[in-house]
Amino acid sequence: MKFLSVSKWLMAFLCMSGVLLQSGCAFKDIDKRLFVSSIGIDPAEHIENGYKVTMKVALPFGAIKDSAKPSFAYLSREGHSIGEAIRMLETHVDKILELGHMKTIIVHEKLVRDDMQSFMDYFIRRGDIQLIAYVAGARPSAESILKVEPNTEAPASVALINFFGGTANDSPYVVTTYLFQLRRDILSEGIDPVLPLIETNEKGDELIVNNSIVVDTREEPIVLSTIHTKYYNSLLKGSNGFTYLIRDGGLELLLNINQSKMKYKFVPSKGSVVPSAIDMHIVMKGTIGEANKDLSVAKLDEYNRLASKDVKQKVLQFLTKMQEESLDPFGFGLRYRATRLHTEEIFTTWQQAYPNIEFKVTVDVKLQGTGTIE
Amino acid sequence: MSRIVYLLLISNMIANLIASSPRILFAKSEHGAIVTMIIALFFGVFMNWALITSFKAFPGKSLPQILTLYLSKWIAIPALFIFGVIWYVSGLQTLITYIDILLRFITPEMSIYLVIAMFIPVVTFGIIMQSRNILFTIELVFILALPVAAYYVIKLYFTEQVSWDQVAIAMTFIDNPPDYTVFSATTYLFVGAFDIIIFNSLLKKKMTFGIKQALIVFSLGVFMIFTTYFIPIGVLGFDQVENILYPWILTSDSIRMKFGVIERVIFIFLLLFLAIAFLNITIHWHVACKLFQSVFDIEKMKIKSREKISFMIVIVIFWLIAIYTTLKVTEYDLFLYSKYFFNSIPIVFIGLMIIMLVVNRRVKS
Repeated sequence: MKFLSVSKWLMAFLCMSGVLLQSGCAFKDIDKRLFVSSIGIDPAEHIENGYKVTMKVALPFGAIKDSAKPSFAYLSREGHSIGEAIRMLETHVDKILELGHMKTIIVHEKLVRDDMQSFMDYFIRRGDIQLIAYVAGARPSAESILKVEPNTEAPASVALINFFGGTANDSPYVVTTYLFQLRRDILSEGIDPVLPLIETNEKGDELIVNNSIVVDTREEPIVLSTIHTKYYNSLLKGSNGFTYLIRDGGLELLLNINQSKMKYKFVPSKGSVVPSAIDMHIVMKGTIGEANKDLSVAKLDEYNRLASKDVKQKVLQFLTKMQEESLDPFGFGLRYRATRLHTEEIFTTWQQAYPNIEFKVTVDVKLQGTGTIE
Repeated sequence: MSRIVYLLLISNMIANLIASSPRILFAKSEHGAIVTMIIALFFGVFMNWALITSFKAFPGKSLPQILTLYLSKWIAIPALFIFGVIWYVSGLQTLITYIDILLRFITPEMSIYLVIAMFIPVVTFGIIMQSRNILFTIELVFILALPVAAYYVIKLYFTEQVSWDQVAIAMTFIDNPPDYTVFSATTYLFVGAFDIIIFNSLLKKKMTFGIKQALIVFSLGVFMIFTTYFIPIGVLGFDQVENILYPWILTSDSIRMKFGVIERVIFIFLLLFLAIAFLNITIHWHVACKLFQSVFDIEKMKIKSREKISFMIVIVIFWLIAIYTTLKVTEYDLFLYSKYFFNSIPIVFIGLMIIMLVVNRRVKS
């Protein structure tokens, strides 16, 4: 067995010598790289059917305390496709553009459509771009949104990223959509993905995210209003910490809801395969945050009833609006497909049935108390 | 059943999570994948039962030893040779897939020669270790990597990124007729325990395969099949999931650990699974190497350093084939050849069982 030990030493040496071939940092030093923090995509002005790609590049500085403000460089270029524009942008800088830390993709409002899959393809195919990057719509244009540098932005951080993902900003008005999720929902039959819409104020020093866009095939995308965005987020994504203002006569109550759950099922109709109605049940828990009159804990049931009635009305209005526009951000169609054995025409049956479906909403608001004062 | 057998089984299941088998399953997602996976699950348990039972009479003996004792060499040599090829190819298949994944996702700028040059010596070092040391390595890697890998996989079930509606849609295709390719690809998940055809020489205790063992293998199978098939569908969506080359890479890239050490899970995930896959390649090639050696050894050659030479030849051939195929094979080829390879697995299994049946009869008579 002498031979074995010799060959083992030889192999061990070979394994070790593999290290000698390595040169660290995948062959390019960190100071030879530029980190792209977000990408904006607009329709091109000069090229037909082209795109204008804008990159927000984080500029390196020695120490965080040296720099009072975050510093960014902006690169723009038009091209027939995203990949082509990015390739050309690489020739505009002296360092390599590193996309591995790119976390936000901002798309011009007009481009947020079902066919966006064709250009999103580039991002999915590239191995270094994260699929958990956030995607958002932009108004008036992706470039102008990228160039907003809010006063609240700290050095060495990007404000755009903090809005999404629930690590910093956790508002129920902010929808978070990941790249993989967008791809999944665009490709799936029976659900329309919803993207957050980023706007800016007139001065251009604030980012405002409280509306959202439903991705569909149409030319002019449907923008969900602030209220609808909140309902979408709270019902479907289970986000919490939001407030409801209800009015009844002279009474004004502001509810702080910290838990909301939505369940729904299809009500089968007699003699037909498609359901006639959707039975939706919503449970919300919370406390009263503000009121214009004296309240009494004993009358909580009364407030519950008032709140339930109010919420029900608003949810119904939201659902019917979506139905009229034949949009399906909740994925009712997906659920329909999921609860029946597959047939060839299952989705077309659903599409025909959806406009006539009736919504039956029951809302159960369970207030825990009137807050710390009565 | 010795714990080693379970570890071998699990290592094979995990290594296949990332390799070609999910893609083969997804390709047939609308053509009978579900029903076939259920059939294959039972068949997989049966396979393990048949294997353990047939080796029951020979504690401490490997397959080459058994065959030379009880069968004529005209049957034993070709059979061992075929098994050797099968084991080598299964290691090779994993190797090529992982080199491809490494190049695509971890070090895109690295030259393929360098990656091969790093992989093959390490694997070879594993092959020339003694079988006993390989078993120790298995245990070591499992203690280090498996808890974390299990954590990530179980974490997947509870993330909000998984859409269970999509999973349910995949299940609505349950009424389709079964498909052979899916059957063989799923069956392959269960062949890990077959490595004991060599490692049995170290397992001196008599093994049993009763209800308890069957239940363990069954539940392992259920968990792995469910994870392999349904979790990527939940994350990536059912429609057009078959268009993705490495479903599990994209799935792990889609998982976000909000407050994890790294928000982007893919890097930890890949490294962990790489460790286990590495182990898997080593085990398979070790078995293949032993089988080939026994083929050339079977007639006591008169040359002095017979072991040395057979070792050398086998390893050089392993290297040449591995380097050649890794450079040549395209993604399409890999998919196609993996399919052929998987398709041959049930046949090879039946062959092995027939041989063991004959051997067992001869022992009794």
